Amino acid sequence: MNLSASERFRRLKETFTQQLPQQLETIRSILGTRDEQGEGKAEALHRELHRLKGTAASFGLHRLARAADAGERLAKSLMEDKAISEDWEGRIKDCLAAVEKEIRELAVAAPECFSPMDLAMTEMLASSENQKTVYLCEDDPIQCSGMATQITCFGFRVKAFEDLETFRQAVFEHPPDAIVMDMIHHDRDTGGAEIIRQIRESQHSHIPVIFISIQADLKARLAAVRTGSSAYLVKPVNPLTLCSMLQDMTADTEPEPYRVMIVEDDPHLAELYSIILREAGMETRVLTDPMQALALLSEFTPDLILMDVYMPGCNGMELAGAIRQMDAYLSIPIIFLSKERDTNLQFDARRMGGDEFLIKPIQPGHLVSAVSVRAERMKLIRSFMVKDSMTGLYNHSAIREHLIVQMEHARRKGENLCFAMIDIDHFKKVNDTYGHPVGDQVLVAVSRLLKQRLRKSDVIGRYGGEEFAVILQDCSLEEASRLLEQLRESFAAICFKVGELTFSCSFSCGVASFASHDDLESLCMAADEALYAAKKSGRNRVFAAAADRCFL
Amino acid sequence: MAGNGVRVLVVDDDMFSAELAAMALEEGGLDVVVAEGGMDALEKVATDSGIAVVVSDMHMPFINGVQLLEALREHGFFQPFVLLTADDVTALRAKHPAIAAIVAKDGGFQETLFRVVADLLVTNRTKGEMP
Repeated sequence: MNLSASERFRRLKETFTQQLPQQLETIRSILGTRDEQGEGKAEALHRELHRLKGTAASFGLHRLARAADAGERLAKSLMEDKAISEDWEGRIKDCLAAVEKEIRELAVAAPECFSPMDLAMTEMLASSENQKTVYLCEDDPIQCSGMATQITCFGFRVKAFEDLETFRQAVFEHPPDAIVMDMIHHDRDTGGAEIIRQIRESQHSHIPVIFISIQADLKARLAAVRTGSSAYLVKPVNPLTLCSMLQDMTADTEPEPYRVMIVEDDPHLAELYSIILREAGMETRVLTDPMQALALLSEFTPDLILMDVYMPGCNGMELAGAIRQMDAYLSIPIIFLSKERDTNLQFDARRMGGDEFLIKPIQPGHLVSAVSVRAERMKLIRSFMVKDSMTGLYNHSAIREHLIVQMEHARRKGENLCFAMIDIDHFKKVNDTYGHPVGDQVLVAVSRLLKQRLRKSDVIGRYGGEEFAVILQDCSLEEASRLLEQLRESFAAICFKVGELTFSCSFSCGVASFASHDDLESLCMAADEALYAAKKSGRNRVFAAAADRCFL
Repeated sequence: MAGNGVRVLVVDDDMFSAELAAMALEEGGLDVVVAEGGMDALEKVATDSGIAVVVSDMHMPFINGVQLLEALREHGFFQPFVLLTADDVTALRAKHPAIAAIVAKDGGFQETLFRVVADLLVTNRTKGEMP
């Protein structure tokens, strides 16, 4: 098993800290030997303390290194100077006491590393490189450490603060990637918001903040909003919600822009709307012929439709009705544009499925805010519909829909794609032995591993239970097999810890290629059969489906 | 770089320090041999012609780092020598200007060590290729 550098370092450091009490014991026993050995004793003492200093410094344990250094200097004075001062004995004992204190503190600090998923996560993170730092500010020490552990489990580096002043200083010295802040601090109901406002007013206005609070009332929420933060969670906080928020907020990639389809027969006006919305960072497509609307819908998949009420050939309301008849667009927001203030018409427009009615001429600011509010809601609704709540991956039906679209795409472009099904081996045993929460952690670990290691263009879903599905775009069967094989190895190497116990898991995988199975059912079935074959031949392996087996 | 027969000898009586140094070098793709002290190091150099750099701790019982360097040169070993120390680096550098590199043992020494050793290997190789 090939350990990552950070993991090797961590283990070595752990071993080093564990043997420290013994090393101190050795030093004390040298000190306790009788004086007749004279010079040998001083030299042995010096050597041991010097060694302790050097190794401690190498591990970055600077306080221990300093304590040992003081002892080393005393030992040196004993070596060089036969007539030592009377209080030498007392001073070296003080030094060793200081060393002991540091060692004790290290021993206390160590158990923090033993959260159930810690080991697994450190290994996975080694592959991602850009670990994000989160400052957690919570004045209840028990809640604080509980939450810190949870956030760490999801792959963040967490620094916890109980005290606001230390926190403020830390933000100025080393700004984090995100902050989780308790709203109530000591006696102040909105103490958390106050400190965030101060930080924002100085230079660090960009750091995203999530407020947590036992209060669900409007006053506290408003205080959060006034600091410019819309993220507010009521305790007890669901760790998955918190962490997915953190992930979104700290993601290096820009969020996907809103996609707006503009249907307007006047090309100049259409162009104007398009420019305004693009200026606001949205993606737009303009359609001047309403009869082409359905084709553009499936090609562009907009988050929102902006359309004129009156157009030749087909009016906006009829078009809205037609769009709403399609399942996939049942809930797409539609904004109507009209020159008239006719309230009856507005009423009709709403009845036909319009969400908003804007009167021309429209102020650019109004247009942007009307569009972004509704597009955001659409994105959210869509994500609820297609994402698995625990892993944040696409659910069964969403992954099948993606597969249909991707297969079509591959056909058009003349590319290949591969579809893989992954099933955790003996998952039931994990649940039965360690309980469902641990089983859930294993599922989350798989989903994180897939997300971190696969390409952005790959589609990852939870197919159900302990089964996952992956669509690998523009990829040969050989490449896909190799990639999945690497993932299989990585996953099998992850060590899960539950209290004192450790265990590891494996998965089996079946992968099939579009080149050999070019319709949805046969592709899915081929992947499923390959998975079954992988299970049958002993699990913990990746099988590729043979070409042209089905439907010939 | 791995597998081309070039090895780095790490000499340290402290197992943890030795392992840390070895880790840093192996991480960069170098092959590492560890010796527990000066005598062991002399023996390894004599029997292994692939050793291209020696990284030694200064403070060791019986033979310290500087004494080891002297012994190595006496035995006709002229590859680069890097000294690791927990003591003040500037004083040592002033005292032993002939040593190729002296690296302080601190929290970041692993990175420094790898860079220094890699540099020495590269310069040594280009020197060797020159007519």
